[in-house]
Amino acid sequence: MNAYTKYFVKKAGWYLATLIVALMLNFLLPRLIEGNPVSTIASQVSQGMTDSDSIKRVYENFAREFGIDKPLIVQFGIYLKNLLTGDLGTSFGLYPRKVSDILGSAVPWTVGLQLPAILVGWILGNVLGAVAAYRKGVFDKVLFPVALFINSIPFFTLAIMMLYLFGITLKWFPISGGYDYQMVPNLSLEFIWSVIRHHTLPFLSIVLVTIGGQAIGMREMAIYELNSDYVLYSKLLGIRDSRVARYVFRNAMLPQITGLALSLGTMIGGSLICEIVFSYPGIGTWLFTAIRQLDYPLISGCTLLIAVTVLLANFTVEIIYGIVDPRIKAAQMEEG
Amino acid sequence: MGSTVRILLRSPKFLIGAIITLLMTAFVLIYPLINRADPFEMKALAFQPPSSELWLGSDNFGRDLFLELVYGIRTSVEIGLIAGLIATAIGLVIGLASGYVGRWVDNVLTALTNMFIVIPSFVILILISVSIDSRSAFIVALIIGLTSWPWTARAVRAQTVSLRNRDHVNLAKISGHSTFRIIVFEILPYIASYVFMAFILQVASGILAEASISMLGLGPYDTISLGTMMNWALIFAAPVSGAWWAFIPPALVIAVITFALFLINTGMDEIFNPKIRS
Amino acid sequence: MRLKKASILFVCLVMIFSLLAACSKSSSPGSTQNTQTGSTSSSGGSSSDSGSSDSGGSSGGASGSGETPRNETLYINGLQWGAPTNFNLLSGNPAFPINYGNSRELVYETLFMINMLDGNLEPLLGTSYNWVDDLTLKIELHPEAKWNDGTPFTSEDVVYTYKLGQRYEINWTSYWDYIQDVVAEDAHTVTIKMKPDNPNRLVVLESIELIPMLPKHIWEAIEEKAGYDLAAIRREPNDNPVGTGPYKLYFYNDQKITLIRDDNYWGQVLFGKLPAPKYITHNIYKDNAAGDLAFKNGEVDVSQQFIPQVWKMWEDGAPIKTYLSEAPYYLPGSMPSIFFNTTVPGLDNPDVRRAIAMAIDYAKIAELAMSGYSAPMKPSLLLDTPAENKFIDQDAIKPLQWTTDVDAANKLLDSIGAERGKDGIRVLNGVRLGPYEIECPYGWSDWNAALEIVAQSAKAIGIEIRTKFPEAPVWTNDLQTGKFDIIMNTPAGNVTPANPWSRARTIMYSKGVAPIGEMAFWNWGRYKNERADEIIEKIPTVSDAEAKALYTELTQIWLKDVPSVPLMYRPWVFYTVNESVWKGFPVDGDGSNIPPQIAMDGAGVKALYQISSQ
Repeated sequence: MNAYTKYFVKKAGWYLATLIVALMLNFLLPRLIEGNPVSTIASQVSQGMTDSDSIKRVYENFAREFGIDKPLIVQFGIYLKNLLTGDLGTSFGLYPRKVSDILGSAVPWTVGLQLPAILVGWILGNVLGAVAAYRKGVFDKVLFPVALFINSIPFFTLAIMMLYLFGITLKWFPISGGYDYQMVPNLSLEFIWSVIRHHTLPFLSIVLVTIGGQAIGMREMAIYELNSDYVLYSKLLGIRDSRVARYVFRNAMLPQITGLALSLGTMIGGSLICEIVFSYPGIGTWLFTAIRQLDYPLISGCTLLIAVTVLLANFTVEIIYGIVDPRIKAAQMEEG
Repeated sequence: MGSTVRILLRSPKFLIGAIITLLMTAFVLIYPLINRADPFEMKALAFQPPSSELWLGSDNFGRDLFLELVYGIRTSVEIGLIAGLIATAIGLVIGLASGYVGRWVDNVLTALTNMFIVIPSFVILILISVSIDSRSAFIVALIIGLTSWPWTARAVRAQTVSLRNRDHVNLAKISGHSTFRIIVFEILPYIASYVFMAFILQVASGILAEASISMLGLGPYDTISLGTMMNWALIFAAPVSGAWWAFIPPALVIAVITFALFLINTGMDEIFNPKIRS
Repeated sequence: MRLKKASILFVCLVMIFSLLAACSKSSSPGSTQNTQTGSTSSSGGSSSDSGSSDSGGSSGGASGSGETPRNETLYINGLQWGAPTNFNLLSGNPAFPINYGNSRELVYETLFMINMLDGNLEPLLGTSYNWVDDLTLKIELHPEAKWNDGTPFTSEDVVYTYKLGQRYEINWTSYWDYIQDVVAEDAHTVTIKMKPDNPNRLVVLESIELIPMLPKHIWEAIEEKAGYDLAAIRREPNDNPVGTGPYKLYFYNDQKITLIRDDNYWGQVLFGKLPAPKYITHNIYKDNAAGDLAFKNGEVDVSQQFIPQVWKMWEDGAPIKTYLSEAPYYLPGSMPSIFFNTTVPGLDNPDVRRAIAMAIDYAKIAELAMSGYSAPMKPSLLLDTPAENKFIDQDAIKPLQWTTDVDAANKLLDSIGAERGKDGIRVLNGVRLGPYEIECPYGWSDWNAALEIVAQSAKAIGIEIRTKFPEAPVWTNDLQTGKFDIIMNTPAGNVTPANPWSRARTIMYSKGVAPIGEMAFWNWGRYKNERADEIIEKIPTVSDAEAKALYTELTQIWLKDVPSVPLMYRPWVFYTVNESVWKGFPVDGDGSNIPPQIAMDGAGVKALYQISSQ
């Protein structure tokens, strides 16, 4: 078998195994949480009831409807079977809405927030980091501590401070929601403007933090490369600076691209805190609500989505690396 | 050892970071001896602005925010330290084992590590925190430690693999030393500095993780930590009431502590890894 | 550089795509979504988190734009936390305005409207009621009442609605423990016959002001379509509900629910005119803070939310009013209390419980936790309101009532031999009094604050109490299975004719309470007193005058045994109004006798006929 194929097959096999473990974990973990998921809805129905037995019957009826009265193995089997047909189950807390429906409406918001923010932050951060590494001097001395400080601020504190400063005190931006309450989603300019206004603060907060992290990383990689032998040699040979710079940055970029791919992979999971602080209607908010309400299907649905995106991103990166990075080829040859 | 410390002291980043950390530690340890009041005591009305009596005003329960801040820093740093220790210890053991022993042990442990990396630890952290019954500071630290070791493990493994084929190691192998002895005496000293830096990073990320998880309401019960202070501020709508003193000081303090730790880490990195010195 | 251009292009594409996706999702009709009320046992509780996402649905109303003129729309908040899923009373989680026991008179109506000011039941669909004999209640119906689809409202609908509770396990099923039959005597008269062996007038009177009337001609069809299976009936979204009320469902999505006035409303003959607001909208806010901010800015007219330090709002100049112009600003409706697990060593001793009750700083709770909205606590099973205090002999219970007196509490504990150990915590007969965990759901801020105060108060008398704030479903589970030391809950927090009996029963009645480890739905502390059980069983069968002596005796037992300790008075529903757009809301002393029931529940709905937006 060709070295490449062996590499891919091994990788694919491993990722599949991880997927299965992830499936089991995200099925099992929520159900280990103490507390009865039925209680939220059952206690509403049994409000005012005075007979223990009828109240108990209400709880049991709901348990039966939600399918949680069966043994765990059976539930897992049903879960897997439904998964194969694309049915992620029915939410407990938002009964009888389907999980795929809920997720489907939330994903565009999360992606719409995270994707541009990560990309913009990544680009700006890398540019800043590379410039700092290349220019050195004052720019570098100022940039590095500032970037490090911003990176040290926990994301949610940055988010809250921005919310407080720009949203509440200065009133430049709205403080919650995906769009204005008065409005109904449509394609009017007004609506799009409202979405953009609500989008700005969370967007900026993610961009700031990403810039900080990327700048530091890129700066380190660039410095590492700039101090390496081949650069020194090229300089001594008299090769033009700009040419050398191109090689340097190409080499420095590789781990950064990996980083970008992985960030995109964790995009859905990473949005949790941002969405909660800004009340942005994305997957993070739903996941958190689901966990508070013990809404098993919704929790499993969200974590499955997160796990799948991360696995997919990782897998893609590994494949691309296998193709692009000659060292991997060499390692495979060596082992094969 | 002595020479290493002297070299470190010459690095401005390390120095600044270390000084900030030491000053904060000293303050946090000494102040409670001077002001023996109970931080849980509700002295004033809710959300009173800073005054000469209450330097940072009062929180939503009417407690002295300045005093709470001091105790909060202590708790958060303690949690960070314990979480960091646990994470580093686990990461070290797994990294060394998979790096040095290799073969199937390596495959299994690497698979395990990758699995933990890939499944977002924060989500697992949330799920586990919701499911346990009693949440004390120690348990929270334990959970954070148990979910954040993979990076250390991976890094240690990489270092161990590169050291594996060095001459002195081979010499020890030929001499018939046991695997355990080789790991402890031949490999460990060379990665000690690296492990220490990893430990610092783990402590910083432990503090951040505690703050994040507490802010979501899943932190330790009945404890004052920086994260829980921010959590209460948010539940009682401090930003909307304009009570900035309830949440901005803890936020800034977290930032300063982690900043100091990152500085220490970068300072050490530059010393031990001359290639990235600017 | 190509990478950069490519990524910018990609970003733009993704943003456009996501916008489109978001928009298109919203126009899918009738997508069902769901509610989640903030409290399980008391209305008007503090909220828990809920997310709002984008997809929406429009009802069978007129246009789908959802926007309404500000001066024709009344905005309310605090009754809906979370996206609406359905408008079906039988589902267990219907959205505003179909919530059971809240905003009752908007779409569906009840036979009579309760007025919390005097406890009377005012006529609506029913014009009068009287007890023809000990077991039979006769109700006359309004001859001109009709459903909003034109069909007349008759006694058949009443019988049908009641009997739904007999066939299926729904909110009003338990009335059938006491009712034998509901009979339509003629088109406009209904009689309710109680069971001879288990009569309970109080509960029957509660039913006539609580059960919303459902149209037989609509729901019979729904039942048949669902094959008479409750699970299937529950899935019916019912997003164009046919009721007798003055409003119809107009528009809803994850962010708001809007009702439109039915200008053919039958009740014009009763009230003389139509309600003033043409539209009523409930915006769904993520949490208290967001809702309070919107209310302060005049985006909401009536708020059912807990607003901390509300007086600051009108001191800042906003035209905001509460029912009472001075503290406590709100009328009391319930008493959130802590319940002791009487099987836990140490807490099984009534003196220990009493000492804890005496140590608690109630004034601080009222001030700090309830933001001053609670009058000073006078412990009793009954509320100190005109509706309830006619049932109690104040002088008889006064000597037993406790007040905050830390010294007396310490003396009490010393006298029973609970000595302080080295760490300051007392030990009684070898049992260390602590650590006891006291719990309430996380995020219910006023409760959280109250429990922190209780824990601090207990420290002063040498008892160690630690606070614990788990998630709401976990707290519910702990409550029901008795897995707690001390737990906070509101016993029977609604204003109904069945109170104070309901409240006493919830606190003290021991029959039907499963042992610790299994689910119990009242008397969670598993308190047992046979005389109390006897009294509780007797009260619904005697006249009001005789009940007074029984209530007094029961309260004396409660004061001696202290199975629960009320921490504060809480309003049944919060009623705060912002008069920047709509003026004329009822307040105390205006002579209108319109209760502060958020302008849309029970007799409170009369407010809608009084306000104007000019």
